[in-house]
Amino acid sequence: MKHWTEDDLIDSIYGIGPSDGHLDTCPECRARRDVIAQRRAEHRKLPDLPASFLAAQQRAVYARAEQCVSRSPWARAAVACAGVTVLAVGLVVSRPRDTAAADAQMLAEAYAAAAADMPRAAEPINALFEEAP
Amino acid sequence: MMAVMATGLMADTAVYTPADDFDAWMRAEQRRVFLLCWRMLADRDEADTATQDVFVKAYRATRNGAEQPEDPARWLTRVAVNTCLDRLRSRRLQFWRRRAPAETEDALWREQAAAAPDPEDRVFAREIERRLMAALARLTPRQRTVFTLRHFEDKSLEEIADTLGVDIGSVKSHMFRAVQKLRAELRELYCAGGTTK
Repeated sequence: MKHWTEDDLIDSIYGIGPSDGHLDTCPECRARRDVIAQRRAEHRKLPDLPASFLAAQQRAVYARAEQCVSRSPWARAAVACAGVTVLAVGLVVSRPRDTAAADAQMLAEAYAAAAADMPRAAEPINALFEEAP
Repeated sequence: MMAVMATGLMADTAVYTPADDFDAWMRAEQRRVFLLCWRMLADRDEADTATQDVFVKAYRATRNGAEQPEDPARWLTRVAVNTCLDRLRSRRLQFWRRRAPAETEDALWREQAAAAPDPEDRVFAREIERRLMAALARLTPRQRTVFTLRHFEDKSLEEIADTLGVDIGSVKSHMFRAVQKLRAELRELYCAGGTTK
C-alpha cells in the first residue's frame, strides 16, 4: 500500500487532497493527518490586540454610525435639491426652440409649392427647353 | 510546516446578537473581523478602516429594522470579505499607493510570538508569521480569501463557496493554486520545521 505524502495530507486538510479514499482504509496515514490537524488546531487562537486599539476602533464605529444616522435627513434633502437643480438645468438647456415661426415658414413654402404650375424640382430641366429671349 | 503556520481566528464565544446587544456583539467579533481584514489586506491601517466599515454597515442594518440574519457571525464574515475584496479591487488602480512600513505590519506578529513560551519557538513563530503574511500578499485576492477563510477561520469549502457566492469547484480551484503557491514560497520553512517526509 502506498502511503500519502505529507503534501497529500496537508492538501486533504485544505479539502483538496487525493480522492482515492486511502485515509478511510489506512490508520497510519489517518493518524499522521490527525497529528497535523492537531498542531494546526493548537495554533488556532486569536492574538491579543491592545485594548486601547480596540477601544478606539469601537469609538470610531459609533462616531461614524451616528454621523451617518444624524446626517441622513440633510443628506437626503441635499440629494433631492441637487436632483431638482439638475432636472431644471436640463430642461432649460434642452428646451425646444420656438417652433411657431418655423412652422409658419414651412406652411408658406408648402402652399407656394402647391400653387405653382410646375414643381420646383423640375425647374432646371424645364429651363433647358426654354427659348432664349 | 504550513499546518501550524499561524494563529487562528476563531471568534470569542459569540452568544450575543447585534439586535440584542450590538456593543457586546461587536466586542465579541471585533478581533476576529479585524484579523480577517488584516490577513486579507496586509495593511494594518486599511484593515482598521475596513473593520470600521463592516461594523458601521452592521449597525445601520440593525437600526434600520432590516431582517436579522439567521447566523450573524456568517453574515458578518461575508460583509467583511466583500468589503476587503472591494478594497483589493480598488487598490489595483491606486498605483501611487505605498505599502505600510514593515515594522508596523510586523507589530502584531511580535505580540503574538511573544506569547510562545520558548525563546526559540518565539523566534520561529515570528519568522513563520512574517513569511506567511508576505506569501499571502502575493496571492490573488480570491486565492487569499479562500485560503484565509479555510486556514484561519476553519470554514468548510461549502461555507466558503456560500460566502463568496461561487460554486465549490471554483473554491477548490482557487484553494489548489493558493496551496501550491504557498508551498513553493514556504518550502524552506516547511522543511526547517522537520515535518516533511
